[in-house]
Formats: sequence, structure tokens, C-alpha cells
Amino acid sequence: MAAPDVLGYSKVAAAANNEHAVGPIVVCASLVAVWRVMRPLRWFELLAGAWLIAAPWVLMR
Amino acid sequence: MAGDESRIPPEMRHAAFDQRPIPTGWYENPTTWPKRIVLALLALIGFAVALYLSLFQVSALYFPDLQINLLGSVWDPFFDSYEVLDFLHWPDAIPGVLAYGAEVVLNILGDKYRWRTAPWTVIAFGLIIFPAAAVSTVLLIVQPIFVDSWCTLCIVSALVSFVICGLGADEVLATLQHLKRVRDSGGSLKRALWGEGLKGLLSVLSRKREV
Repeated sequence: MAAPDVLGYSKVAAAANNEHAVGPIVVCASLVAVWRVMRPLRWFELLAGAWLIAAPWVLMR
Repeated sequence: MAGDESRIPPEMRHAAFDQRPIPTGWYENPTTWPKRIVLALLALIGFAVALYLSLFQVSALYFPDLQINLLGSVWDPFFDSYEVLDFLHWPDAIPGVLAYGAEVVLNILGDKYRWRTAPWTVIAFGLIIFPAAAVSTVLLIVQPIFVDSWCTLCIVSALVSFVICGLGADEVLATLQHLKRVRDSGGSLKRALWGEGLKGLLSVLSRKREV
């Protein structure tokens, strides 16, 4: 969520918007997944993490 | 014991008359008081934050000329909250006040076995906490993208709603499982949802707390 502003690429719209959107979803899922019943949400985090790693190449093409 | 089962009248043989202290398949009762008090306190924090923000919005939107403006500015050490709070020109923190308020009330209702004695309170609670977490997520996404700013107290409120959702999810699941068991064993879903009715609701006041 903070990366575009902290690392200074908030003017790169595609990257900034992507991380501003995925960030809150990841925060929500990870906090909810702390408790036992919702723990399967952690698999979603794996997907989100993979997307965040792949995003620069996908979005910058 | 199997021998006892025959003595139970047929209309009382389904899961709605379950007297167990812990839901089938669970290690512990998910609706005990210590956990619910934590949830109620969290909801109270969310309520206070949302109330503060909506008071600011109402005073800024509808009473801008007021000489004595108690909430002339909004507390925010990091971002420009005003941009976010004024974005819709509508006091959008008020639904938050209502949601957190309802969460507090729905948390207090029901005795410590409310997953079976007052399931509707848990279901109603679940119908608020999951949408609340979803809406909070959407609001967090919208703020930097469309408003180009954040709002510290909005973030606090969102985090509170995430924790409430995670902490409260287990009793919702246990209650849904209980209702499914009742339906599968041929009981009335409507009756099961109401549970023990007022007895379940008010037992906090009328009965001594058992261990």
C-alpha cells in the first residue's frame, strides 16, 4: 500500500494503482486469516503474493 | 446412552434440542464471554472512531458557518483526512456508526451458548461483520486511487473491522453448522434460528453463570 509513495513511483499509474488495490485486499485477508476458522484464506495470500511479484512484468509490457 | 434416546419424544429428537456445551466437532465453545467482550470492545472502538468522523463530516458539510465548531478539524498526523472525508459530499461515516453500534448490541445479546440458544444473534452479527470487512477493503482501495490521499482514522476503523471479522468468524461458522445439523435431522430451521428465544437471550440476567 505504501510502496508507490515510499519508493517514489506513485506517478507510474499502472503500478501504483495495482498496489493500492491489492494492498488492502492482502491486509484484510491476512488479518482475517490469523484466526483458525478463516485460515484457508492463506492460500489466497499465496496467489496475491505471486501476482505482486509478476505484476511489474505483466503491467509494464 | 442409546437407551435414553427412546425416552425422548420423537418431536424432540433432532439437533435443535442439543444440550452440548461445545458444538459438535469443535474443541471449544466459540461463543464464550471473554472472546465476545473483546469483540464488543473492538466494535466500541470502531463505533467511537466512526462517530467522531461522522460528527466532523456533519459539522463540516451542514454547519460550516457555525461560530463554535467543536470539530473544526479532524485529527490526522499523517495524511490529509479532509480530502477523503469530503470526497462524496455526504457523511459516509454514518453507516459505519450504525454497523459498529449494531455489532456491539448483537455481541452482548444471547448467553454463552448462543450458537444454539440464540443463533439469530450470531447470524445477524455475521451478516454485518463480513460486509463490513469487505466495504472497509473497498474504502481503503478507493482512497489512494480516486482521492489521492488516505485518512488515518479510516485506516484504523478498517483494521478494527478486519480483526472483528477474523475473530468473529468462528461463531458464525459454528452456528451455521448447528443450523445445518438441525435441518439435516429434520428439525425446524425457523425454530432453531430463534433458539430458546427469550430464555436464551435473557439468561444472562436471570440465571447464575455456570462454569
